[in-house]
Amino acid sequence: MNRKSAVAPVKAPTGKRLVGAKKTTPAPVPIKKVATVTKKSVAPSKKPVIQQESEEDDSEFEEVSEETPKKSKLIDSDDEEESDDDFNKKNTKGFSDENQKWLKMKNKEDDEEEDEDEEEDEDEDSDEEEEEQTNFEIQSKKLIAKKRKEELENIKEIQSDFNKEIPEADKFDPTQGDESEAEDSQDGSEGEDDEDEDEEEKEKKDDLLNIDLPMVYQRIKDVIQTLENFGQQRKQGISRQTYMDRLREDICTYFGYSQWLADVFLKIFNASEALEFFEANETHRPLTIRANTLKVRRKDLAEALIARGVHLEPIKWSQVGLTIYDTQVAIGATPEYLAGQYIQQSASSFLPVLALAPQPNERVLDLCASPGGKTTYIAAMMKNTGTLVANDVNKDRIKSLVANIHRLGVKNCMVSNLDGRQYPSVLSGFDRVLVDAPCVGLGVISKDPQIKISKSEQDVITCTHTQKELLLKAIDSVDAASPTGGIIVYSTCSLTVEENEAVVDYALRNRDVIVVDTTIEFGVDGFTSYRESRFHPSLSLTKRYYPHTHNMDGFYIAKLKKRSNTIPKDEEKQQKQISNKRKNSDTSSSDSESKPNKKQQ
Amino acid sequence: MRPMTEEESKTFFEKLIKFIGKNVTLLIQRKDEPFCFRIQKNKVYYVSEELMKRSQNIPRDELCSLGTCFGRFTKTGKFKLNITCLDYLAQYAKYKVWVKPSSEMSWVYGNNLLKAGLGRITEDTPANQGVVLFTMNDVAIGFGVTSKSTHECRKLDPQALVVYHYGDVGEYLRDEDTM
Repeated sequence: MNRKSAVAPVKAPTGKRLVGAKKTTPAPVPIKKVATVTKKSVAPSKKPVIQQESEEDDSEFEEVSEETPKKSKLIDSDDEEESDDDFNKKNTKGFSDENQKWLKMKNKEDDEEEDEDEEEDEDEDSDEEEEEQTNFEIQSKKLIAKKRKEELENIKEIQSDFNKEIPEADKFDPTQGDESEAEDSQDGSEGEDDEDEDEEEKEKKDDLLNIDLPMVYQRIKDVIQTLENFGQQRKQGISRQTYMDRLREDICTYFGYSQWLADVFLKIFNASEALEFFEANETHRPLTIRANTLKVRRKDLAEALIARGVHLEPIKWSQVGLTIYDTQVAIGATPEYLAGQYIQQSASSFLPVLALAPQPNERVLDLCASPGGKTTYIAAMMKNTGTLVANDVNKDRIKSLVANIHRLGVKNCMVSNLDGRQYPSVLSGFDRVLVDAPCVGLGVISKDPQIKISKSEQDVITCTHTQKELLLKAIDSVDAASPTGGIIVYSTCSLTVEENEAVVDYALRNRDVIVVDTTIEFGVDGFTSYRESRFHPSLSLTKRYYPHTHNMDGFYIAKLKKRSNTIPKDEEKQQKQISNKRKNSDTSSSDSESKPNKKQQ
Repeated sequence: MRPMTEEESKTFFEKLIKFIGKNVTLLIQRKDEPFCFRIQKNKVYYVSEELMKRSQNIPRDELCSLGTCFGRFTKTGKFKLNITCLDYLAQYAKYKVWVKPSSEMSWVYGNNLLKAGLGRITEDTPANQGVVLFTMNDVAIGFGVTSKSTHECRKLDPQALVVYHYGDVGEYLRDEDTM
């Protein structure tokens, strides 16, 4: 027994090495056996020498001193490599104790094995105690063992925490009923006690890191399903509002929107469409370019790009658009690009120009022009004739506008860096005006996910104000007597009704303009009524574009035609008052207004 | 915005003639529409008279560009052609150089053209002559000045310089801020 027990502790470290350092060679084992035979007589005398060596290397670690006696036996057998291995092993072991957090997970198995080994060690050591080991060594080993056990317990605790949460979630999740009951109880308690609410909020914050996203997604889908078939699938006694609140919260969690923004979209779309919209915002729209017809035909450009290894396809509804699917070269740095044969432009920004339909030899104003995609398209449609005025407020963005205009070979254009609201006083009498108004940008969330949280209701209010001013000024800049034009196109890349229909409706009420058809075949009709607001019925002629239905950035386009140059002001209001008093029909009064206007021109 | 002084027009046209020779007259006397050169903030613009008249309404400081920019006068009174006039130069150029596809990108990054990248060159091009560079597909990609005549080019070794860089379309990206 004594011999075996003497061999075992020596073997144990080799076993460790097998797992830990992975450098073992089969050879040492027999040698050690030999060594152990000689050990008893030799070991005590050699011990101090080797301790010195080891102290030089790893004097800081306690373990070094612990294990040196065993190693001493190894090194008796005169192998330097082995001693190196042992030191390596010691080092790793030293790390495993000092920096538990690092090595816990990787060495979990190792730890267990080591634990076993150590237990053996302890037993065996106890036999040998008197001969070799001091009390310090035993104590330290026990401490280490304790530490390990604690670690394991910690890990188990953490894991059990995870496990606990998941079953809870499962209880929430799988069936409609349970989930909505849970909601109900939550909501009920919210209604009853504010304290509960606070606690819930705290819990929510705590849980933020542990949210199970697939579960949230499943719940979104379930709630939407319920909402679509509300009469049959709802749980008794739960209002639609409760479901909607749950849906909104889940959407905020899953897609990362602010509460306000999620609410905005849930008001515009019905629940299932909203989900499609949110999902569409997570993917990028296809890259599109526009062939510059001033320099090249689309067909020739497509051939040239295909030769460069670009996979593309023409856009069906456009004469000049190409969709890029895959490219081996940087699409913004080919010689064709630099020579101005095409420009990178999102598909949605073709539309306002198509609606504007500028003709050669007209006078056209682009009120918010940078970075020049639409401006250059207008110039191309005008075939570089007439006068094109591009304006932008932002001096930095003007640079890219000027560069693009020159690169695409636009020669009929001048660029001004003015506030758009100065326009009719600076220059007026245009045939067509394009107002691509600055907006909150809710249609281009896929391009800039920051919008999800950075925008607020206040932004919409300020934008709306600017937009109304810009649109009125744009209308004022147009000459209604223009033989070919008198057209104003208003567009935004935002989707809120406040920024779109409401602005156009405002213009309809304040200027003598009518909404005309955009001449674009596809798109969703604009709202004529939205929640509490009612707009002019002709607003159904305006068009909306959504990422999920048209696979392009969200967009809104309204085409207006100016009927007269007079600005209806107080006189009209007075007339309206009079007409209200007399209860005359609207048509007769409007006729009487428009006729004198035409004479004035 | 103002017309060029006599001195300025002299410097300007001297430079322009290096590239398009007598075709300069075609720029000034156009059959379709009267065009003119105007200076705005040191830059020379080539613009139709109608557009020029309209642009007079816009305050000088806020007018950023009109028509086509040909280049600018430096503080020392020299004239520097800008890449933005490439359209007109390419249209009226007397001497042309075609660049092999392998050297297109090198040129577009602002390097001089070596003999190895020389695809074709107009017959009888003298040395130190302004030329417009095209890709083999006839897309204009810049302009420069020859270092050797056509005749000398034939004997050169592949690493020898043929065209000094003057302007290239890569400037649309590199120098967008100063356009």
